[in-house]
Amino acid sequence: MSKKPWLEKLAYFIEPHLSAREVKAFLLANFTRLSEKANSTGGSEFEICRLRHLLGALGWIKADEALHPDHLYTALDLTEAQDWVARLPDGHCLRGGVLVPGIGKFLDRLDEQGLAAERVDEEAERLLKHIETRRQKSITRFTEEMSARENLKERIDVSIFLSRYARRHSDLRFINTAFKLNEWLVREYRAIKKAGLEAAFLLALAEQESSAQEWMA
Amino acid sequence: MIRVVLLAPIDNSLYARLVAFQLRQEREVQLAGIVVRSTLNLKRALNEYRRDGARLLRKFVEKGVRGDKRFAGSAGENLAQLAERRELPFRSLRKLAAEYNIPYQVVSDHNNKRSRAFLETIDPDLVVFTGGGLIKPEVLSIPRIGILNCHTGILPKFRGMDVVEWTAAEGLVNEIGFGVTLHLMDQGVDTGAIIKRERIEFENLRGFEPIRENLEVRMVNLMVEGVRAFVNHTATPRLQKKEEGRQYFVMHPRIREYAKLMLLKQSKAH
Repeated sequence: MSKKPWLEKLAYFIEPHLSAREVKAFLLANFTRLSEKANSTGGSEFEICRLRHLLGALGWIKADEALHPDHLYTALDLTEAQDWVARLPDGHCLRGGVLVPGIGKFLDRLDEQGLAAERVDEEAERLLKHIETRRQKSITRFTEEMSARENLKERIDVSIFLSRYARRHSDLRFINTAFKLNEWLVREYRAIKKAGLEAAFLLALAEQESSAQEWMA
Repeated sequence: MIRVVLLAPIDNSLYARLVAFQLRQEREVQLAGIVVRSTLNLKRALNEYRRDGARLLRKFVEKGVRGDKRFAGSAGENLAQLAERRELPFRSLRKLAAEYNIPYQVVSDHNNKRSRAFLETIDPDLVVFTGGGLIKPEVLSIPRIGILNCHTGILPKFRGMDVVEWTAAEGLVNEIGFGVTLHLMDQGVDTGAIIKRERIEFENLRGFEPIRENLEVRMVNLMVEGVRAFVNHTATPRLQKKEEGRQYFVMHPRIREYAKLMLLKQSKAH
């Protein structure tokens, strides 16, 4: 038990974190709203279907249908991911705090197929360190010019990769970092909604909770 | 005679004071200098905030403001008790340095020009690091033997931050255990050659704070033993392999709660 609860409260005030209950409430409230919105432009069919599937698997909503095979894996072409790795400058997707666009989605695609395992593991470790040392300033500088929307998408994709990587490799450190990254992103939720990335971000949270549940249920 | 310089994070660091005081009593050891990082330092505060987040506030209040009083109410073995047993008379490193005529320098960063110049002038055989940020290669290369650091975890397995909690979260309390590792610093995070490790018995320690306080006491002893080993030429540094361990980072509160449960579970099983 903390000897100084007032200190913990002050620290929480400066840097609030989301409890499991708060994440669940946030996810459900926004998923419900997104689902009810007619002609929702908040995300792709893949994102919404996978989100529904994960929330069902978590036991948070009733979702009887199994996930369609097309929605099991990301829709990225595997060749595209392999080409991306082959084109990496110096063989790294992150150097001096500057990232190559697509880092989250491509590393995830390769990892889910078990391809370029050693390379993916090495880059995942570097990405982890990058986020943990640069914190809110992480995943903001890229080798190409990027719009605000694209930047948000990159950060969301990285978050999804971290959660899935944690699950696939039983590495709690990656969930630890996903928690932090998603908390920073939640503060930008208005911008995320405006950019039409709502489903993507809710999916990132659902992936986080799916991984968390494996350890902390 | 081995010449040693001590690097400290703040002037009233109890850990640093105890190490300095102990080293002064060692034969064949000359405490040739003390370098302290300035506390009221905006750049330092920003850098540490970037690394630790809001936890920095707790660290500042506990170590910076409360100092030795932070152990009041603590039941287990801790640095304040050790200070009492050893009859440590100094409330600050500045006072200790003044009493023993030890060159004393305050710097904003252990890696800056002033710090390097001070170290180069003294030309130590060994530096003992008691905190104050990462050390860069330009400083690592100054002492003849190297820079000793005591890590509050068992290396090589658990490198980085919050390793007491991570040991529990990873379910390795019984397999790896809690302890301290004395090692030479290199450019990596807790990757330098291991000099000595010491595990602690934790069954009677309820929670991470008592464990950490117990480890801090071991750190003082291990640091002094390490210096002694170099004096006696009995130190046998063992190189670490990168793949033998992982780097851990500041633990999120949700994982910390999980780590607490895991500690309880593993303590019962012990």
